[in-house]
Amino acid sequence: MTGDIFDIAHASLVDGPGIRTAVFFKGCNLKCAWCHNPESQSFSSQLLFYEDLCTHCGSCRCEKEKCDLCGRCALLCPRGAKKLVGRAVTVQEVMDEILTDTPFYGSEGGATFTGGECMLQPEFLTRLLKACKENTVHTAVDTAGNVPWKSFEAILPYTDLFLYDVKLMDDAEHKAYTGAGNRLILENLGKLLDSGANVWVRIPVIGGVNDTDENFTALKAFLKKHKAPQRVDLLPYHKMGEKKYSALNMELTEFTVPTNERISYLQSIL
Amino acid sequence: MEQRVTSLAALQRKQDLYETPVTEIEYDPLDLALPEAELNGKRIMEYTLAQPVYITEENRFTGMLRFNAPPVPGDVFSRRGHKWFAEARKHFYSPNYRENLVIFEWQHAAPNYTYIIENGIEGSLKRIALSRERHKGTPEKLSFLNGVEAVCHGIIAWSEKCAGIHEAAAAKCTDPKRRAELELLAAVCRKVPRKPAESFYEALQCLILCFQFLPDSVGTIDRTLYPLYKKDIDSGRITREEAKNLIGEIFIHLANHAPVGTVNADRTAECHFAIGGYTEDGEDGFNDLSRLMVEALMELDIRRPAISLRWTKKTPYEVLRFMLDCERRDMNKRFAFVSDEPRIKALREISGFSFEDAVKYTMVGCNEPSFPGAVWMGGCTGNAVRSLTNTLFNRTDEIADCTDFEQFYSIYRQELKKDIDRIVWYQNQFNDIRAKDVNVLSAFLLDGCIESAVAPNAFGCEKKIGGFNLMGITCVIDSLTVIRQFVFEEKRVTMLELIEALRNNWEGCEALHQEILKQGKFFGNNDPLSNEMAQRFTTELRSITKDIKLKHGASILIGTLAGYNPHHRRYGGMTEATPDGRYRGDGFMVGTGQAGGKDRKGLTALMQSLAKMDPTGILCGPNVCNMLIDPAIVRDDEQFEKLCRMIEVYFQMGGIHVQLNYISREELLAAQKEPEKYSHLKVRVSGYSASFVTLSAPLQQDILERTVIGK
Repeated sequence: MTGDIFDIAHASLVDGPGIRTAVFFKGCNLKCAWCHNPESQSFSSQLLFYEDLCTHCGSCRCEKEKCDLCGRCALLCPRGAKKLVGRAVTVQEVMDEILTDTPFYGSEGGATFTGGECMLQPEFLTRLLKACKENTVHTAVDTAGNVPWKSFEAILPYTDLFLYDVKLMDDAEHKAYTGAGNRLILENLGKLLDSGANVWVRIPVIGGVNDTDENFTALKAFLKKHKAPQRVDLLPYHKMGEKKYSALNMELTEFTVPTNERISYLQSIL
Repeated sequence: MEQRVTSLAALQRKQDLYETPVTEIEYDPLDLALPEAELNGKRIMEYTLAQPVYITEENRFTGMLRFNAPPVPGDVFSRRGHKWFAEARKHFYSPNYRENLVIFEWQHAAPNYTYIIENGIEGSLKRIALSRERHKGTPEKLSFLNGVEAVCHGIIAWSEKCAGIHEAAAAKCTDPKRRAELELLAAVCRKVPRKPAESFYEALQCLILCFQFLPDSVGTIDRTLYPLYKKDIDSGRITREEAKNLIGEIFIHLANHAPVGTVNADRTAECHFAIGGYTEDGEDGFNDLSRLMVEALMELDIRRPAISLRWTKKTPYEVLRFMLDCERRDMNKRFAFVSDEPRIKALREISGFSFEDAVKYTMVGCNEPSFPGAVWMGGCTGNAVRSLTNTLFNRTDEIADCTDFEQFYSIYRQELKKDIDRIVWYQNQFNDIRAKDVNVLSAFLLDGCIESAVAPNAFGCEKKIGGFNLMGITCVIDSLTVIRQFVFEEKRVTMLELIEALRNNWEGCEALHQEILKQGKFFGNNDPLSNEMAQRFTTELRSITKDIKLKHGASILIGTLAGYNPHHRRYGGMTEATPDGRYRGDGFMVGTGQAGGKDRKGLTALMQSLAKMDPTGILCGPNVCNMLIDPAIVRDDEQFEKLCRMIEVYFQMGGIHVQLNYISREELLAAQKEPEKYSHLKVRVSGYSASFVTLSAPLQQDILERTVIGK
């Protein structure tokens, strides 16, 4: 079987403990307005086009009307104006990439499955997790949690760590900014914590959206009701994904980058 | 660190601590009748004794001077004053590239301070007397020994002169504390370097005074000085803090040797040494003095010395982390990292040293391996790519008929062998020329020169170590990989079509060019094809050079350094387009680190390719591996910790060298635009560090084109 991914990042230092290989699954059921990987949202392959890099040299031999996303144009473009994202890969192909960095994993590092929402390709994910465990590779699943609880149950035995995104505690606001309410997400998080799983709660802090006292007080209250997560990390919003919006012909909403002081303050609430 | 030391460092950054040019003297023209060695020795002695003694309110060491030849022959590799070297330089030094294949470069050495500290110059004089007995009847050798003897007497007299000056200063000094210091300094000068040093302080004074006679690497001084350091600490004669102040002051004088304002003042390769590494009993040698030296350097805003940590499989992680932490905080970029594992193996298996000898090695210059008491007899920098382009363009008909890669490769190998032989031939010629000079200045600090009664530049040293550098190694590996992948395996292009594309500098073949750039299985991605090609190429270098000895007796070690010159750019400038997608005239990458975006899979993949590339150890010459790291990684302690682990794994897997730059492309571009605002921005270049804005345009471009890891 194959799964759809859009990237494999080696030597990742930010996707969990230790040195990791991060596998980015394609497709998500949230549409967060601040998403820094907008190419992760759609389940199908996409062609990114960076118009500012294009000199209309014709090297790509582009024939828009005939486009079947073969990626040849991206291969031929000398300026990197085009990029095909999304490819189907087998479990073996992904495992080969993961295992190549085994010497670096040590006791902490390993593989992180992220996205997109990796839990939306449950069978592929489960097979990968199992394969990792067979090779004694530490596994982390990075999820927004908007999936049925049974999906968590299925992978619990093979998942060493969950990186669990929490954005907004208010259901209506959550729906407004991500396209979906947060009830299922919070319910799953509560169950996951109480199951005794290792969880790092991660909060993307978006200026003007969720960097409020109310949001963090509510999160604190929520967490108090459950077994404590191993860590709670605040991830400040950044603008690194901005250019990809126009390349995907998607509309960009701009947010404010929270200051370091604000981050420290919010951290202190928790 | 005491304020008097830090303020001396601040002063050194601004101005010379001692005057140059120094006192000029009139030599007796009748000297010219003397044999050259004796003439040199006599004049060195007279020159030395005529110099003013440097003294300030602050310093605890003395005897610093510079040789301002001509007419006094300068240091061992003869930057000044040696007429044959100067003549050779005119013809063979940059930019006089020979055949787009070879050019000559400087070389570096490290004195054997252990001998002088333990035996004093009186020990050297005794050895001279013994050698004289042995060489009775060989007037040339006797002359040489007379010259060396004159230098030795000159040094003792110079030390006595310093003592006298400080005694007089002490007599006039009203501050009792300073008076005691001056009296001590004077007493020490009456003793060392003539006699053995018996305290840490005496050893340091001996070292700094002798340093003037071979102002280069100070070698593995954490071992040399450790016994006396430990003795004084244990007996309570000195505290750790006091020792740090003394070391600090010594470092300032090392930094000051290259005159402030000259181009070399900004570069670290002029004084680069090693700490840590295996000891003779097979243990890790990083000791408390090693750490103290690093701590002292970190507290001083001076440009050099540069220190490399010799990592071993027994180096505690804490030590590596300590060094990397100092390195990330060091604005002067004075630290680099090498592994003993491949080096010791190469020094034993290729250079033929015993384990006990091999573990004594030190880095000199950028990253050349040498020993305390030996000279790295390198000096040639060759073009590794010429043999490949010769194969493609001069033997087109033959390779067009090849039906598999092996046939092609066997033709390429002939060309490679031809070029390596030619480089060796040139290197021997050049060494013959400079062997005609008679260097008596540094002979007493280099093992074997007294016994053989032969100057170091004429191969008098006992330990024979040397080799040359090759530019464009990754270009060759990538090109061979592309030929194998695109022509023979995937058959996307025929050999003749590929050659035609190269002749046309890729014009009209843009699609092929892009396919190669984006789908070529380039080195640095831990791809099996290019990994194997890298191993094959380095193993080939070893097999070609295995039975060759350089004229002075050394087996060949190969490096990838460019030194202070952008040889990789210049060779590239003269070289046709290559199958790796490089355009005609584009520079080669320096070293074996990142290459212009061709490494696409991040640091772990690059490290794996590097660690596997050299099974024979032939690249344990002055190899350099640059890694440009996103500064965000080192600002974050958690990520930095992971980087440290990664480097430890890299060495465990067999990596030989790493030097890091934490800098964003944006910052480099900004520095190019407004150099005046970035005068303090230091970067690691080719095994040394320098101020980015003072680098030549090609070298700046080089750093910009390294792939930034972590973005």
